Amino acid sequence: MKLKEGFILRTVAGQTVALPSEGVTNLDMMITLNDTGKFLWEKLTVDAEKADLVEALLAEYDVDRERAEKSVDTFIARLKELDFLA
Amino acid sequence: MRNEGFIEGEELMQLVREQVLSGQVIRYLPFRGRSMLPMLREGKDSVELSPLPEKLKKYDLPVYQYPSGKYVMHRVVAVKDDYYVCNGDNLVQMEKIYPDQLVAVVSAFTRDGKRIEVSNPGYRLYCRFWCAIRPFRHFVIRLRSNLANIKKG
Repeated sequence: MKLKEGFILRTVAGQTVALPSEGVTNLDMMITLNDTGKFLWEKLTVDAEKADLVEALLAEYDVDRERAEKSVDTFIARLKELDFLA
Repeated sequence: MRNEGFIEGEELMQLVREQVLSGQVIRYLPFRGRSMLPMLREGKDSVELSPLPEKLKKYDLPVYQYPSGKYVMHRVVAVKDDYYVCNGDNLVQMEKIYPDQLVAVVSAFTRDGKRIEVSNPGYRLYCRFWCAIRPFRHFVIRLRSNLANIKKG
């Protein structure tokens, strides 16, 4: 599982936003990322499985496995919904 | 998590500016304000912004920045050697705008969900007509507003 090519991350007024940016920047596809979102986003710029993401979250944040799995599931579902995954 | 209004105003424009400067086309920026009525209605219509050409032409719709930092989008009504004269479709006052104030130019817009390119013949006709009646425009604007009030009443 990996993000499609052509996205950029920008920090606007202290918020991280991700948007497709290959010739056309579609503002309807702009999403804001919180800290965890940004962390997972960066992991998904290279190929990673759900288990890798959960482990990465557990290593980086003070969070239990159940919550980490839930966060990853929600995040992946959102990326799929937006068709952001390759 | 889509942009549901938490990045807007000056902050959104800062992002738009960076993207356009790096050669990106921005699709679609919701239009705000009343200065470009009747063409663009706040909350309904939006614009596509493209990088600036070397020189703007009459009727082009550039986005530019006032010295105060505020971004606006008004129509070029005259091209001079070293500046442009701009005017909102719903405004009376003219503005002198220098090239270093310019950020982007409108290449298309959406009206009622339909995409209209600035090369569209009907739109070109609107531009010519609306600029030609500029001296009398405030009567038309007042008439429209009176008619709207009558309808409401």
